[in-house]
This record gives sequence, structure tokens and C-alpha cells, in this order.
Amino acid sequence: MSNIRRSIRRKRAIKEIDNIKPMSKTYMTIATLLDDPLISAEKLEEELKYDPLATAEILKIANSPYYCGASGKIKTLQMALTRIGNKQLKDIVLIKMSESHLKEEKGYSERENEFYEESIASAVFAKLIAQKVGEDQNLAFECALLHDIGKIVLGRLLADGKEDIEKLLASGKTSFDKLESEYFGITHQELGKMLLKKWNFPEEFIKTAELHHNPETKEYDKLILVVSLADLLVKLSGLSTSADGLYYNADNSVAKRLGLSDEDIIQIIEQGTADFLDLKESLHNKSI
Amino acid sequence: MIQIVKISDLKVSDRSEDIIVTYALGSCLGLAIYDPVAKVGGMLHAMLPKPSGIAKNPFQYVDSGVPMLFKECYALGAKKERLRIVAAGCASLMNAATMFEIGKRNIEMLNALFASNGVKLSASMLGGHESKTLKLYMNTGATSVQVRGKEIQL
Repeated sequence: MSNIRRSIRRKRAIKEIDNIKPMSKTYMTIATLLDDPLISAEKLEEELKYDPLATAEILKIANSPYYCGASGKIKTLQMALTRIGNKQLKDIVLIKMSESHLKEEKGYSERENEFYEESIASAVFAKLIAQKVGEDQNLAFECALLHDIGKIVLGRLLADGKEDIEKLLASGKTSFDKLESEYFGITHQELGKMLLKKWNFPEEFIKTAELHHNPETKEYDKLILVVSLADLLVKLSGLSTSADGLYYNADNSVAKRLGLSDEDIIQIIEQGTADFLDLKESLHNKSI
Repeated sequence: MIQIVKISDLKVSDRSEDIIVTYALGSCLGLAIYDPVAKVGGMLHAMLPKPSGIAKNPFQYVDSGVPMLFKECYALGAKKERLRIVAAGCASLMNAATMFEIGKRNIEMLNALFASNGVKLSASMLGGHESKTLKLYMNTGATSVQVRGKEIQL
């Protein structure tokens, strides 16, 4: 494959970033406000007053069995702040903030909303792993939610290279990220990093997007390992059927460096799947 | 009618108009069985070989789900000696360390179960790095696996 073609494809992929719409300002502001543990519900409501559906949608997720136990319905943002807390509420706001972007992915996904669900499954798994290894659970959830966001850029170009990609995959030797780099001259990790940088996301998000398939770094070491493992276990569990399948390397260094055993892996898959199903029903908005 | 078998789920049928299908078999095992005389069949989508503790959902595991698939089909009139048995799934990550070899362990559990019960697979598409969709057409008992958008008869 000629280097010239690859370099043209790389440029095209990077240019495609300009065609991705920005993230919702309202949700961005609310996510920032929620970093303050003393934030008042009035302040949140003030931000949300022009988007009456948003509050209802946030509360719908807050009322899923994943967040809300059997102790009665959460009816207001005030109740949500008291019952599940600002950090969990921020996780939910990030789900809503990225929803339309994650749902637009069509290149890797075979089914509708697949990438959205897969990203949330990664977030749920990452939170669980973070809890096991003593890493920040909410940060792990949020970074995992957006770790594959570069796919929404590269996914727009995948169809063009379908035949070549099939050929490369048929060899059975190339991992998908290597294939991306061979064919497009760029990976979904690199594009994710660029996109999150453009949107001014914190450094941890950018690093996890960039390094989740090569977690040999020292910076944010544990966090990246957590997201990396979550990504692999979601692929194993079959919560996705995307075009990249299970074409990723999975030596045991990730789990070993986190100090997890074979038994832990099985438990994470069991609990993670159950957690995801507890959340799943609340993720889709049916207007009727 | 299309009957979807979700992850850690089981469906059986004796209606010829049904198509039983399961999507997104990663390292999970998809198992379809069909008795052409009784026109009874079923499908299981099991995730793991056996539970880490006490199983909350028996369909989640090969060791408990497979016997239940057979029993539920027997209850509808299927006979063991007439069954056509097809397996798909159990994919693996690349260069996977032992702790990630869930697909391989699912196959081993299935083989052990079949060996001790004198049951043999009629066809299978197991392993690889692809996520698969398994279908069972109740009118004929035909089975297929869909990989990367292509449907292949099994």
C-alpha cells in the first residue's frame, strides 16, 4: 500500500474532525458545576431551564436500578443531589452530553445505538474495576465513556476502505488499531485524543483515549489500565458486535499490573453485565 | 416470529413460523438444538463456563444453561437421539493470556458436558476474533451464522 494514499487518508480523517458538531454547552456547564460538592439544585435548574426535556432525561437515568435502589423515586434534581450525590449526577450528565455523538457512529457499529451502549458498558465496567483496585470510580466511568470517541471520526471513513480492510483482517494477524494505522495512517485513539483536546477535556480523558490500547505509560498509569481492561472485558462479554470485533491484543499484563486474578476477571464480567443491564433500560428515550 | 435470545438467556419453540436468533456472540457460546421430527428447537446464549459463586441466572453459564436447553426441548417433545446440535461463538482476543480465554474455557466446558452425556455437535463455527450472530429457522431446522454481515449456512 502506497505511503501517499495513506497520507491522503490520514489528512482526510483529521479534516473530518471539523465535521463533528461541538458538545452541548449546557451539559458542559452543568458537568463543571457538578464538580462542586456544595452545588445547589437551583443553579442546575437555572442552566437547564431552556431544555425542559433534559431534566426529565437525567432523572430517568438517576431512577434506573443502577443508581437508585428500592428507596423510592427520585423526582427532582435536589433529590438526586441528596440521594446519589454530585459525582454520580455528573456521570449521568456526561452520558447525556455525549449521547448524540455516540449514537451517530455508523462505521464500526452493525446495529443502531450499538456504539452508545458499548461506550456506556465500558464506563460501567471501568467503574467496577476502579472500585476493586482503589482508583477514582467516577473518573474511570467518565474516561471510559469517551475512550473510543475517535471512532465517530474514523467510522465515517471505514466504509470506503471496506474491501481492503476485510483483506487485512482475513490474515488474522493484524489487530484493528494496527490496521487503522496501516490503512488510514491514523488510529481511533489518535483521533479521539485530537477531538477531546479540541473540546477542552481534562488531560486524563485525553490520555485514556490516546493510550487505552497501549497502556505502557507511566502517566495516569492506573486509570488507563482500568479503562483498557474495561474495554477488553466488554469486547469479551459480547456487549458489542462492532466491525473491529475482538481484534485486539490481550496479554495479561493489564490485569496483572492491576493485581487482578482470573477469578476477579470472571466476577467483573458477571457484575459488570448485571450492572449494565440495570442501567440499559433508562438509556433510550421513547417519546411515546 | 423472530425470537431474540439475549445475553444469558434461553428460548425454546415448537412453532414453525419462529426464527430464533442471538446477536453479538463474543466469547459467549451460542448453542442451537433442533428435533426435525417433533419440530421442536431452542437456543442458549451463555456467557461464562461456570459461576464464580452462586449463580443468579443459570442461563448465564454453560454448565447449567446447556442441560436446561436440552430439558426444555425434551419437555416440548424433542428426543435426544434425533437432535441436530449447532454451536457458534467462543471468539477470543488476540494473543490472549489465559485469564482472558473465556471462549476457550466455554468450549472446554461444552465438550466435557457432551462427552459425559454422549452427545455430539453436528456443526459448529467456534473461535476466531469475530463477533457472530446465530440463527435457527424453526420451519426447517436450518441454522446459520452471520459474520461481518455475511450469513453462512451451518
